[in-house]
Amino acid sequence: MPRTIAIVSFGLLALAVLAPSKNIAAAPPAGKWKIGGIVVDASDGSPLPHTPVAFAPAARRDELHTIFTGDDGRFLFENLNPGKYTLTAQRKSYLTEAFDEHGPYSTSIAVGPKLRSENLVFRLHRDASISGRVTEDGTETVRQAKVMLFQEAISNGERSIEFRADEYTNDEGTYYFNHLPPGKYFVVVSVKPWYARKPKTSTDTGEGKEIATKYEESHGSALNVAYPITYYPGSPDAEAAAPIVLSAGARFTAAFDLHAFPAQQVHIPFGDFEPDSSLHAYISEHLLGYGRVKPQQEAMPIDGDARTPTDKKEEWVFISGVVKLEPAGSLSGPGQVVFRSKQSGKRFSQQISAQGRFQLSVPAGNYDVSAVTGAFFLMSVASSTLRVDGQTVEIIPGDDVPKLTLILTQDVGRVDGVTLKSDTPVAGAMIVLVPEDAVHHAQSFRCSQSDSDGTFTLASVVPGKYTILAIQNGWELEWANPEVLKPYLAQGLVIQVEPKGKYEVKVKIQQLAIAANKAGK
Amino acid sequence: MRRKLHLIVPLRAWLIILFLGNLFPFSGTVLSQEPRVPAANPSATYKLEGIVISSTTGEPIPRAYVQLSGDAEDAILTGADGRFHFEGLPEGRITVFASKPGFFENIEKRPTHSKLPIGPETGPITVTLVPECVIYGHVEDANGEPIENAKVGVIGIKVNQGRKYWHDASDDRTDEKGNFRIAELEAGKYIINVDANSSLAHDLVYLSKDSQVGYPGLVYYPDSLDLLSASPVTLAAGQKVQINFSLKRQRLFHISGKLTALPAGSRPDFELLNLGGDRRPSSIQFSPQDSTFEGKVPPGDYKLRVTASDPSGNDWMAEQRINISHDFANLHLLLTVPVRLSVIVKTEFTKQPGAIANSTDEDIGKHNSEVDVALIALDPFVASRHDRRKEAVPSEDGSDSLILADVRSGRYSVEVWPLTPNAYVQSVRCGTVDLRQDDLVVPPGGRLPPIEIILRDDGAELTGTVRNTNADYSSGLLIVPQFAPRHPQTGSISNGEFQFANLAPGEYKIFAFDSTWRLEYKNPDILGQYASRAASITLSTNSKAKVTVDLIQTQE
Repeated sequence: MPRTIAIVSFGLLALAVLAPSKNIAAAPPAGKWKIGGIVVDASDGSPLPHTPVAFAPAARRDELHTIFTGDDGRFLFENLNPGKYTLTAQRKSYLTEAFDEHGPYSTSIAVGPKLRSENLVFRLHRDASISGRVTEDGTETVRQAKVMLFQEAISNGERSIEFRADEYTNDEGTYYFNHLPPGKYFVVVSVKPWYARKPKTSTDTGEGKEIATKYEESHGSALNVAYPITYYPGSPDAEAAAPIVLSAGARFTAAFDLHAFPAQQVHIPFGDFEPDSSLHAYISEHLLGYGRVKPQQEAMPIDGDARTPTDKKEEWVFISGVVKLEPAGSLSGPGQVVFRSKQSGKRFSQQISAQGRFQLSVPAGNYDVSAVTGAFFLMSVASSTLRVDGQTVEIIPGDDVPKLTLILTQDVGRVDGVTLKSDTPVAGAMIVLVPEDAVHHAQSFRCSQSDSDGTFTLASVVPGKYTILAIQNGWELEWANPEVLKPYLAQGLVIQVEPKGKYEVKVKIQQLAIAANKAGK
Repeated sequence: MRRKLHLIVPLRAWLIILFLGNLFPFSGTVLSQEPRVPAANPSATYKLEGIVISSTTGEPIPRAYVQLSGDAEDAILTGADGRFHFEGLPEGRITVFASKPGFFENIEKRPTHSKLPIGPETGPITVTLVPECVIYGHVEDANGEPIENAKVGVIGIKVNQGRKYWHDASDDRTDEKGNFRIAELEAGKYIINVDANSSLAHDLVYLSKDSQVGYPGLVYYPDSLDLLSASPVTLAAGQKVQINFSLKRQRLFHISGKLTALPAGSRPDFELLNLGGDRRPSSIQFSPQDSTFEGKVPPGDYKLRVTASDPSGNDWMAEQRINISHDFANLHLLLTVPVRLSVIVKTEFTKQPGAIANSTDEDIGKHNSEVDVALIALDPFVASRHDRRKEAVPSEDGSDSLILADVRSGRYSVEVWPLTPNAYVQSVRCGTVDLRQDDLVVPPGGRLPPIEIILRDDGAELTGTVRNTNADYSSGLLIVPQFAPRHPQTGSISNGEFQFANLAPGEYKIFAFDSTWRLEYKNPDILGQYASRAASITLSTNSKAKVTVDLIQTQE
């Protein structure tokens, strides 16, 4: 099979040969194994010539060695030692992707005896873009408008709408989001009219005040205007937002025409000094309800200092807690506890003090608790006053400050496995480690992707009883919903993980059950 | 995220009105606090109408913001015809501002007094706004392929207090078509540069272990590797110019070395500075285990600068000039704390002590309250990106000396202002260097003798007349000591006359300009162009002299 491989070119090959630099840290390993294949367009399968492809040892991902595909889109890395390697490819107007990439997961290529690594098909997706112009009343250009991009995606087995990027319009009022993967997006604009003025709140006494007051009444409030937060295709209601569905290579134009309203009629929950993250969280939360009919138009009067949406009356509960480490030790770095409402999905987080304590206020309700620390992982929650179950807690208001104990462990287990379809390894499968009592152990799930030899690793597994599932094309599954996983559990592999336990397992691949994926939205 | 701009409402280009001169004969006169016309009817109200136009085209500007302040406060937007109309104004004085994104205030025509009388005689006014300039263009490689995510910078060149300085005006990153666009620039002189190496941050070819190619460091328009030989682009108000760059990838060289005397626990920052002192981000990696560093660098003549802070907040620094045309191994950089200079002030007063009590002949004392002393950084980019000016402060040890702490290496002008009445600066020296004649050069990590300032009080007095004028020119007069040509003094011309006191004895050249606002008068080469129009005079101690000079017109 003839293969043409272009080496790093830019006309400098000669120089590189004449002056071999001693600084090249590691010459390519001189084994007898190879990784080869073809880079193709994911949509039509056409070969992509002259495309940089890089490999790196899976354990040292920044040690890249890059070559170009030939005229036929093929590439070949030679003289490799046995082991696992990551592959990455890059091309203008395409996404830079790892091999068979799914979010944070991809398939590493295993080379060695009896492994096939020379006929890979590396599918690259064209990138998409959204651009547009922001105007006011159809004519005036709006500069410096903050345009925010949100993406709906399955993340950690759950459908969510997350902030992805923001841009400010330029002097021509245009913005441009590029290099977007195919998917479902929302575009939201937030900007104050450049000429908007707050009403003068004069505290002068005497004549000055008289004059100021007089002019406010006559026409001073004409410029006390605002634009509402505007959701594409041009609505101030998140419910009326329309997702922009981008296929690979799509070039979408989303124009906005804003209209200023008297500020009193526009609900603006965010002041100038609010961090972006709270604006993003607010918008994400509202977008989750897109497409619904709004129950009723709520009057949301603005008072200048309103900082939080006043949609609901919630009873907030102050709680205090402590983390307990097993075995006893100390958190080496900063740690955080996160309470995630099972009702609203909202997250409340707080730092863990050096003494292992935390305090925070959350609305009453049911919560999944998680702890984010360097080497310790949450096992369970305990409380003498609140109802707890696994890693969940029901927080109810009471006379005393409820106290919680979070039990964290460092003694985690590790599962190495292989995914098989009647004894043949399956590459690129989604691997999920499901806790026995999944509803109350959201933090104990682990996820992975099988490599080219079907192998995978689930690390940092909190001791307990689990089922391991391997699902082909399972990446869109909302597995955080226990109902979704139910049909798969019977075919999974049950495993008891002991503290510091190490396990080697074989897991049978399952096909995606289409019906089950319809759960949720 | 291609562009990160601030959320600040842009171009709060406040604009003060330009009066229709003949309608307002009071313009330019000193206005009293009270309304000129006594209020016959305190409850009467008046109107103010006007138009906002572009200074370059004269066209009306629709939807411009017009604000009144003073005795009446109000704001509206102009209509589609650029006109505005306020009613119900009480008799009094107001200031009118206008702004609109894409326009700047017309500073040159800002009247000294902006308080406009409102009353029965108030007529229509015209406000001009100056349109912005735009620099746009694209960046491509030698094959004509667009370079994405290259950083294009715009450096403004301005003159302030007689000295030219450079400042970062704006920047943008190229999009996937290699295009950039930088608006909201004022008319003026600009240097444009591009650093394409930022485009390589995720480039698989560049990141490859065996890669040896990258883009040059900063490239200045049209095709220069250092700031000082770049061609500035002059933009007139409202101008939009296209600037394109074509960059070749070139071989990178490997540099490596070791730091010594790095304060424990600190992380050093590495910068490469080109000959203009402009910084280029370096990809130099540091290993704290053995204090070594290495990185890939495009060829060029650089200063490698390493900075680090110790726990007590001292800034440590090392600098080495390297001309990279081959690999460099075993560079050795020694970090030192920045130079600390002490300033000693001596007085040689001859008259009755005024402000200074108990001064005797033997007591040629040191008095730390005699002067303000400041260092003005002269290297173009030190001058723009850090504080240009460093003031001397009293020494913490209670001695009489002043201290200039944390002085980075570089060239400085030492500026001295006597605070004692009737005093003048006789000399400023640092060791054998006469700082009235020459600049202070601070070497990296070097030690310098104290700066010694001598003040005297037997100065000369000079009065003068400008020929054929009775006009006022604020800061138009320039008196240049020939023994300290980089330390001229400015003064005002009032009714065609001027005066100076407490001048050090010596030879002077005297210039009368209509304006020194945009004149680089601390540069002897620039001032030399006007030398034939200057008057010369030599002053001796305690003398009084008179001089007559011609007016030099710099503006139309």
